[in-house]
Amino acid sequence: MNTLRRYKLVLAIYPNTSGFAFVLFEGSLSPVDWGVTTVRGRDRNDRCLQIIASIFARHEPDVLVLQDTSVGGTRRSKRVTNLNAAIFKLAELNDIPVRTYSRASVRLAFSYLGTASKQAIAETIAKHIPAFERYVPLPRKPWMTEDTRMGLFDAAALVLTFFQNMAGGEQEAA
Amino acid sequence: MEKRLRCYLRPQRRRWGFTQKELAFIIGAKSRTGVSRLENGKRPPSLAAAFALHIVFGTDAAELFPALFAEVENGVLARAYDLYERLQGNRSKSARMKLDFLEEMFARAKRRGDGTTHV
Repeated sequence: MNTLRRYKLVLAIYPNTSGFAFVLFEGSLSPVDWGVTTVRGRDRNDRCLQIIASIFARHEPDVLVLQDTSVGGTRRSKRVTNLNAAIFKLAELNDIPVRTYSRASVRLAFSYLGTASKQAIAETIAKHIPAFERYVPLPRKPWMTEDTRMGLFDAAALVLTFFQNMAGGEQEAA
Repeated sequence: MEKRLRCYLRPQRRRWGFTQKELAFIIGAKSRTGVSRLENGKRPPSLAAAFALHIVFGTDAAELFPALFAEVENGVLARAYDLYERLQGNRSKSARMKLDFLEEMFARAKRRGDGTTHV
């Protein structure tokens, strides 16, 4: 069975300091929904989870792609790691299979760019997916904080890494 | 290709960066609420809205609203099959013509289902 055809709707969620970004793809180059959600104040994780639950209910994705924030994966802040784990559990409760990729895996997937910086990855994604063109942030200077829109490209990069691994014949775990 | 989303209006609108208010203005809807209801499948589009959306995005209404199209198609096919069965005993020329047409219609629906033709 073709693994790419099995997953019609692929959702990626990328939690960041101000909330989370998500993208929903139907096929590797067809985004059907996306957004950057900013949540401020206390109980940020709980409120993020409520919004994510509504995204699950609205789209009923076939697979969820998250960043691997486990010990062997990517190191993120404690709050983001907890949120990622909570999203994982929420997906399991909704019977949505979850795939995780570390930052290193994403960089590997985009290694053909030479230096696979976040900016270079974002520009490459925007080149292939015109819907995202207008979201590409300006190159960041060392003293600038990261643009929240970059989360969109982080999430899209996770989806594209997923598709690349699927195309490469990765077998579904469990 | 089998459609997975119920409605492709939201992706189309966001692809070109339109707000619901702007799209409502273009298609002549009273407010953005109407567009929101269409996007969330809470209300089927009127014929005028379907034409307007086709003009705006250049996409058939059947492709923008695949779930609604499938619902209508299933109903039509079920009733057409019912009529087909009822016409079976009729040997008149007009009945033969109708049966031929209905068979062609079923074949068209099957091709659509197989993804060999566009709706």
